[in-house]
This record gives sequence, C-alpha cells and structure tokens, in this order.
Amino acid sequence: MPLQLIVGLITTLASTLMTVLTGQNVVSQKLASLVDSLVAAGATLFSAFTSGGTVTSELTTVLTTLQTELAAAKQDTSIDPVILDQIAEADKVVSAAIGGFQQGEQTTDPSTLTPLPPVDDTTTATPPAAPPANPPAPAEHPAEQSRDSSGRFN
Amino acid sequence: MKKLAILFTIATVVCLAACQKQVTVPVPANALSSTDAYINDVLQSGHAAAVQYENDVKGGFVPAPAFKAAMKGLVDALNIADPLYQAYHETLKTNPTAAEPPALSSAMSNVSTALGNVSASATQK
Repeated sequence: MPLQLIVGLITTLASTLMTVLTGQNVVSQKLASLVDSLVAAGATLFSAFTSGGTVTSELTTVLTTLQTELAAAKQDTSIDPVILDQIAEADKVVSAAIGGFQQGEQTTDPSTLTPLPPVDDTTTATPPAAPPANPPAPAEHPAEQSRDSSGRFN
Repeated sequence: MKKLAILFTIATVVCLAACQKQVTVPVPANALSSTDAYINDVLQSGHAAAVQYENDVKGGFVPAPAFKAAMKGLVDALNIADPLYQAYHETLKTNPTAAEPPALSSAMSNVSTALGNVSASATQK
C-alpha cells in the first residue's frame, strides 16, 4: 500500500499533462517526451511489483528520468510557464513522498504526524485555453494580464 | 492521445497490482508490528508530499484545479487517519496482538481513494 500511494502520486504528473492536452488539443514534442517517460515509469514499476522486489531504486531511477525530462521541457519556451509550474510541482511532491516513505522505513514515529493545515480553497491556476485561430491583442487576453514576469498568475 | 491511453492503462494496472501484492520490507525501528510499520510508511509518505505542497503554495505556487482538489482530498484523508493510527500505535504498546480497528482500516482506505481520485482527475476536463 505505501507503493500504491507513491504510484498514485506519480500519476499526478499524468493528471497535469491531461489537463494540458484537453485544454489545448495539442501534444507538443516536449510534452510527448514527458508522456513517454511516464509510460516507461509505469512499465518499470509494474515490473517491480510483479517480481515481488522492492521498488525504491526503480522509483529513484524513474524520478531522475522525469526530472531530466522536466529540465528539457523548461527550455522549451513554447510551453505555457503555468503548465511547467504544475509539472515541476508534481515532480517535487513525488520526490517528497518517496523521501517520506524512505524515512518511514528507517523508524516508526507516529508523533511526527501532526495535523496538516487544510488546503486553501481560493487560489487556483486557470487551465490554458485552446490557442485561438486569430489571437487577440495582449491587452485583451485576461490570462496574460494577470501574470507576473515569471509567468505565474497573480 | 494513444500514448495517454497507454499511460492511463498502465497506471491503473500498477495501482491494482499494488492493491493485491504486498512487498515485504524489513520492520523499521520502533515498529510494534508489521501492520504498525506499514501504516506509518503510508502516512509518513503522504505527510511528506502534503508538506512539500503546502510549502510550495506558501512560496507562490498556484495549483491547477485538478491538482489542488487531489491534494485537498489527500490532506483531508490524512488528517482523519493520523489520530486513529496514533491511538492504535499506543494500543499496540500494551497489547501487541491488537487487531487493526475497523475505523483505521476505513481511514487508510480513504487515503488510497484520495490517491485514486488523483488519477481520476486526469480525465476531467
């Protein structure tokens, strides 16, 4: 079940990519590369499960591959920076989950499980819209107006 | 889209395989039973993920709606499971053979469901 949890978190990456694709109806080459990595990750994990071995090392390998792909995707200026933020965050969450899992394997200490603050209900990023046939002027594009210089929404 | 269909299928199969197959790992220090250790691993992993997410949100990260909903579900499930597990851990100190309480089993199932919802959110427009 711990592994099920981690696999579930890894699929957060897939969730992000699906959001991109349903919003844009386009698969960029860089995102396609990420999807390839996720497919390979699923196959690797499935193999580990069916062989009955531990998957910690496999997860580390998968994570490293995904991080490499993410670094490459970040160089592609055609990908919406907001989407890259989601991918990067999913990557960080998965890394943290694996770290927590590894730490849990070292020692059992329930006292560290303090209540978590509820997830804020107000702030979310706007999913990217499909590219219009005739893009409006920047001043008329609300999604662009609300971003700061880093590409995040204000 | 074909690749995504393959990806989703593999992710689903892996999750189902994980449900059926328990990978044996050494019992960690301070663990009172294998069940105690296993629940601790799940919750520690979830906590680490949630803390990372929370810190990043505080640092300016703005989540997509599906991502946020998935994390919210995970946090809510963890907050219910934590005290139940802590109580069970205390019980094991005086009764090493105590069975896992049904409420804890249900809470841990909800943690898994919350993660399943992460996958399900991938198909939402």
